Amino acid sequence: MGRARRLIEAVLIWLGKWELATLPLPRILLATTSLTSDRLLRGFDHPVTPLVLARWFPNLSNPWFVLRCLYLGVVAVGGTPREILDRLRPYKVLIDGFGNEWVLEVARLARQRGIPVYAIWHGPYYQDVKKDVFASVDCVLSWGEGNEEWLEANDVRLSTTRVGNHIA
Amino acid sequence: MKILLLQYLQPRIDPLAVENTETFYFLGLMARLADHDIRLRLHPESRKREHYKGLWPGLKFDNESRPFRKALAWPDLVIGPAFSGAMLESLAAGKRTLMVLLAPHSCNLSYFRGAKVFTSLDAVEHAARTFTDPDCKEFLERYTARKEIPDPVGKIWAALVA
Repeated sequence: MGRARRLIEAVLIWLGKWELATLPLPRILLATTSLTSDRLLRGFDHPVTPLVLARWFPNLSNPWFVLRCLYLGVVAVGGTPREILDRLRPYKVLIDGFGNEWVLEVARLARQRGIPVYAIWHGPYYQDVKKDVFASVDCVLSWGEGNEEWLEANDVRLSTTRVGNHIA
Repeated sequence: MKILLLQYLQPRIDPLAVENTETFYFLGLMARLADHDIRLRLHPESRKREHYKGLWPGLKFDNESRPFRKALAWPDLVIGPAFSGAMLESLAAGKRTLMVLLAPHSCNLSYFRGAKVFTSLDAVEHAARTFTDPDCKEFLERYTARKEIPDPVGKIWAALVA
């Protein structure tokens, strides 16, 4: 599966370059786990271009899902966080992995470039821990009161919008 | 009874978690509930299938590469670690769900307000056999806002597009 997946990712990135040339829409970088990307892309119907990291592209084993994504203008991207942000200049960035080094780098560099960073959970936190990533976040998308309680208890004072739980 | 047993994969952010708890949970529940039809579902990123086969010969597995939502069609009862997001999915799907939280851990128990959390395997077995169905509605609402926001994905896109 490893080699086949890498081949599919390379094809998607190549197709993405063509798509980007024809889609002059604001770009939203989904620097999110495949679980979150899956939910968001299934419900996608907006005048923006979602950018999804090819190696985290969800449901690659489901050709109908992938074809639907391509049809709707979802673009698979590859490269380092710096390359992706400088080349594609997203309008906003969404992250959901608060401990992942790649995601931390995306958030930090996006913040430096003045690109708004939004954060959402992909799994609940029941431990009181300090997460450095919030220093690079502009807005938190909360599942509900539980997430908001955690933010307050852990001294994260950021603009918060309650959006509900996209996983459950 | 068909039981879907979720792997007790402890979060890396928990400094008190010890690896042995995962095996203690698995063997303890298998021994107690072996007269039922049990399938183990591993975390998709866990590569421990061979390890578990060695622990319990003949063990049946749920296919961890298929979405958890689809896996929920099979069981009568779901047992899993309280800190897993899968518990919220199971509760939201209306499944009988037993949330297990074994010491040591660094979870703040106040976050589980409105849920029944089982802290011993004997209590899990008793609940499973007596068809106890804990009321977790308040807890579920606090982590999903289902009544308030029926379309979370639409709400997320609206925030991102604005």
